[in-house]
Amino acid sequence: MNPAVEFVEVTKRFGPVTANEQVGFAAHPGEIHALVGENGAGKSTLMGILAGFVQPDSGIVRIDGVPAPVGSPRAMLGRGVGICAQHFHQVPTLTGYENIVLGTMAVGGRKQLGALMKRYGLDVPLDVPVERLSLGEQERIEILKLLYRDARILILDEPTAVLAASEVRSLFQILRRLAEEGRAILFVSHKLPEVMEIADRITVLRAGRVVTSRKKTEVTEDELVRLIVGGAPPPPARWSARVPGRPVLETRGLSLGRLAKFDVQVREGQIVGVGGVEGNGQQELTHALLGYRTPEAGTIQYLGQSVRPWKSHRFRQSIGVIPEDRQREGLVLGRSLVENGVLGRHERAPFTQGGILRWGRMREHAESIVDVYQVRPDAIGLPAVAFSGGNQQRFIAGRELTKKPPFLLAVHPTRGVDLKATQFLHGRLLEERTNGAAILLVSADLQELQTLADRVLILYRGQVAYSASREEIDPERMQRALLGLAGTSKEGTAKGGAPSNGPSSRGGGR
Amino acid sequence: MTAPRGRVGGGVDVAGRGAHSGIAGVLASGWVVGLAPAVLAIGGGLLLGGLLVSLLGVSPLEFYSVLAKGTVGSAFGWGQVLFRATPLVFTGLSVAFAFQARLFNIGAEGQMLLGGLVLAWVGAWTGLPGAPFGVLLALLAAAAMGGVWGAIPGLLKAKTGSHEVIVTILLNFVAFALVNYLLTRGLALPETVRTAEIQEGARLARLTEWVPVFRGAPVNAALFLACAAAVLLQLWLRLSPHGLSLQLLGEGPGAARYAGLSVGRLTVLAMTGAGALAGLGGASFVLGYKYYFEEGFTGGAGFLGIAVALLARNRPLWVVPSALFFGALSYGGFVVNRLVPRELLDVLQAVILLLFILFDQRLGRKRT
Repeated sequence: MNPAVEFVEVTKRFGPVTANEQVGFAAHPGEIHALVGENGAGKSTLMGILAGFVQPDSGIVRIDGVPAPVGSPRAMLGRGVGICAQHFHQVPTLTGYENIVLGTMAVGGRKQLGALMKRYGLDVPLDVPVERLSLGEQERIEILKLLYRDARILILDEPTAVLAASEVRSLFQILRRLAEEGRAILFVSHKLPEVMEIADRITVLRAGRVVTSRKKTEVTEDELVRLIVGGAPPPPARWSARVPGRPVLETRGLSLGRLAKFDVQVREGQIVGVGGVEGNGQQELTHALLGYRTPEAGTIQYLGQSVRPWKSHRFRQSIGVIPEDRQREGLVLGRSLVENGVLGRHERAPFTQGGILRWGRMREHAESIVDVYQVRPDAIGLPAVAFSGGNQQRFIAGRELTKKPPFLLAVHPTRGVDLKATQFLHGRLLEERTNGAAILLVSADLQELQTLADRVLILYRGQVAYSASREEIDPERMQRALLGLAGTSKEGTAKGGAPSNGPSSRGGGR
Repeated sequence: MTAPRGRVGGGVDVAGRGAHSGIAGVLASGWVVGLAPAVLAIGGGLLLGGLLVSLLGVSPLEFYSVLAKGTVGSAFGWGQVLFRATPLVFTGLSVAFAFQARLFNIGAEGQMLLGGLVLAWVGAWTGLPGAPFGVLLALLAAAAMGGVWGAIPGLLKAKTGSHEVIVTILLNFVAFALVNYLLTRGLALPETVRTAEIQEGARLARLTEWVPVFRGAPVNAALFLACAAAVLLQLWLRLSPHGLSLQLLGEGPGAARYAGLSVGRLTVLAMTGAGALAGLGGASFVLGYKYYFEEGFTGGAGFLGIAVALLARNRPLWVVPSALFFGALSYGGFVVNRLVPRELLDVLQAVILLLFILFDQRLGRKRT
C-alpha cells in the first residue's frame, strides 16, 4: 500500500534561515504519526507545506503515491489534506456551523454534521459565535470542519496545548477512531508523554532535518528527549526556599465579568501561580491588571500605592508582561527585533536622548537579549515574524526581564514552547525571583505551577477554588478544584471524578 | 485569527528600517517589491488609456505625445505640473502621516480649505510683519487651524471610539459650510466669493523670479516648503521616538497596548499632525499664486491626497514623486482637451489606482 503522505527531499529556506533541509519520511493510512522537535526545528513549516500554505524551495510531496501540486491550499484540500492549526483559522463572529460550511456548498450540511458529531462523540454547540466558545470547543469545531470536508490526512498542530486533562482523553479517543477508519493523522506536539501514549510512529526533527523516524515501540521517552535536543537534556530548573520581602502587588475584592472578589498578594521574591482551565477568570484578571477593562469593584495596590491601570498607562510601563498571545500582544510582527526589543521603552533614556532615537543603543540592546536568551537565528535585523514560536517567546521574556521590573505578569509563558526553552524560561523566572521580583504566573499547566510557584491559586468560574502554599499542595485536591469538584468541606470527595459534573450537581447531592 | 507563518510574511516590510545585519538580499527585494506595483500599474494604466483613446478615434501615439509635450515637454508645462503637485504633496503627506497609526484621514479636503481661509485672513491682516515673518506667521496659523480640525476626530476616536473615517468625512461638510458662512459674513469682498488680497509680507515668490523659463506658470516657493516637509517627516519617522510609537501602534496595536504605549494620545497626535499638514495645502494657491482665498480653490486636492499616499505606500519621501505624477495627470487634462474630453485623464487616474491596488495585493502575497 502506498503511504498516505510521503515527503521526499523537501527543502525550505526563509532568507538566511533554513527551516527544512532534505526532509524525507512517510505516514501511512491508519497511522497516528507524531512529529516532534524543538521550536524552530521545522515542524510548522513542514506542515505548512503539506497544507499548501508554504511553497517549498525543492522536493516532492507525494499523496497516496502521487506527487501533489505544492503551494496551493485549495489543491491540497482537494487531495484530502486538512489542518487544525495551532492558531485556529476561524471567523470569530460566525457560528460554529457557519465556520464549518464556509467556502463549501452548505446543502444538507446540518444533517451530515449531526451524523458526524454522533459518530465521533464530538459534542459542541453549533449555533453560538465561536468567539464565545472555549478554546477546547473551538478545536472541536476545527476537527468537525476537517471531517465535514472528508479529510483523509489530518494535521493537528499542538492540539492539546489548550486542553484540560479530561479533554485530552476524549480527543485521543476521537483520534483513535479516525485512525481506525484508515485516515492518517499527523500529530505535532511538545508533550512527550502524550506522544508516547497516542502515536504509532514518531518522527524527530532537529534543525530542519529528520533525525529519525521509527515505531513508538522502538523508542523510550528518555531516548526521545535526547534525540530531540541532540544530547543530554538540560537539568530542570531548581526552586529554592527564599523569604519573601515587602508586598509589591495586591488586589482586594477585584471583580470583573467572571472574576469575583479576587484577592491576591505578591511579595518581593515570590511567585504566585494562578491556575485553572481556560476561561475561568484568568483573562479578566490580566485585563484588569493591565488596564484594558475597568473592574466593576475592587482595588489594586502597587508598591503601597493605589493604582488604576485603566486610567493611566504609567503602571503598565513600569511592570513586565509576558502576554498570553505572543504574536498579537507581545510583538509587532512586521518589525525587526531591534524595534521589538525596546517596545514601550523606546521613548525614554537610554534609547531616546535629546528627543532623538538612538538606533545604535537599540541595536545593542536587541543583541544583548538575543545573546543572553539564546534566540536563534541571532539576526536582529529580521522581522519578528521570521522566528519560531519558542524563539519569539525567548525574546519577549528577555525583553521583559531585562527591564528588571519590580512586578512581572507572566501569562502561559511556556505554552507551545519546547523542553529546552521551557526549562530555560523557568530558570530565568526563578532567577528573577531570587533577585527580588514579584511574579504573578498565570498558567494552565499544573506541573509548571508546582515547579515555580511559592503559592498556588486555582480559579474555577471566577472564584478561587483552591489555595495552598508550596509545601501544602495536595495534587489530588488541586486537580479536583480545577474541574470544580473541590468542596470547602472535605466530605463528598468519594463521589469520584466525573469531570462533567460541576459544583451544581454537588450542591444537588447534598 | 493568525494566518500560518508562511503567509504572514507576505505583508512584511523589511526594507529600510530593520535590515541592519547585512541581509542585503532582503533589503533589495523589499525595494524592488516596493516599487514594482507602482511601475506595473502606471505602465498598465497607460496601455489601457491608449486603448481607450483609440476607441475614441484618436491615435494613442498622438495623444501621448501631446500629453507629454504639454506637461513635461516644456518649462511652462513643468511649471504647471509642479504647481498642481504642490498641494498634493501636503495632502498626500497628511494622509500618509495618519496612516502610520493606521488611521484614515479622509478629512484633508476640509482641513486644507479651513487652513487656506486662515492663510488669507492672517495674510491680509494690516499689522502683519514683513517677509519672512509674515509668511511664517500665516503658515503657522494655517497649520494650527488644520491641526485643530484634525484633532477633533482624533479626540473623538480616543475618547469614544467613533470611527475617524466617518467623523472626518462629516467634518468636511462642516468645513465647507463654515467657510461659506464666514465668507458671506464679511470675509469675502462684496459680490464675490474671494477674500481681500494678502499683504506683500505674506507672499511667496514665484519661481519665475529665479528661473525665467517658467514665465507665466504659477509654480512658486511653496513647492520647496512641500519638499522640505516631506524630508522632515521622513526623518521624523526615523529619528523621533513618537514617530516610532505611531508606527508600532499602527502595525501592532495589541503589542503596543501591552507595552504601555498611550493609544489615545498617539491617536490624537496622528490626526493632529495630519490636519496640520493638510492645513498647509493652500500655501501654494493663497500665498504664492492668487494672493487671496477663493471658494473651491482646493479642487479636490484633499481627496486626491489619498491616492497620492496610496501610490507612495505612505512613505513621506515617495509622496513627492507620487504627487508629481498626479499633478501631471491633472494638468494633462487641459493639455489634451482639444483631442479628447478632459475627463479621460480622470479615468486614467482611476485605472492606475485600481491596477496599483491589484498588483500590490498580488505581489504582496507572493513574497515569502
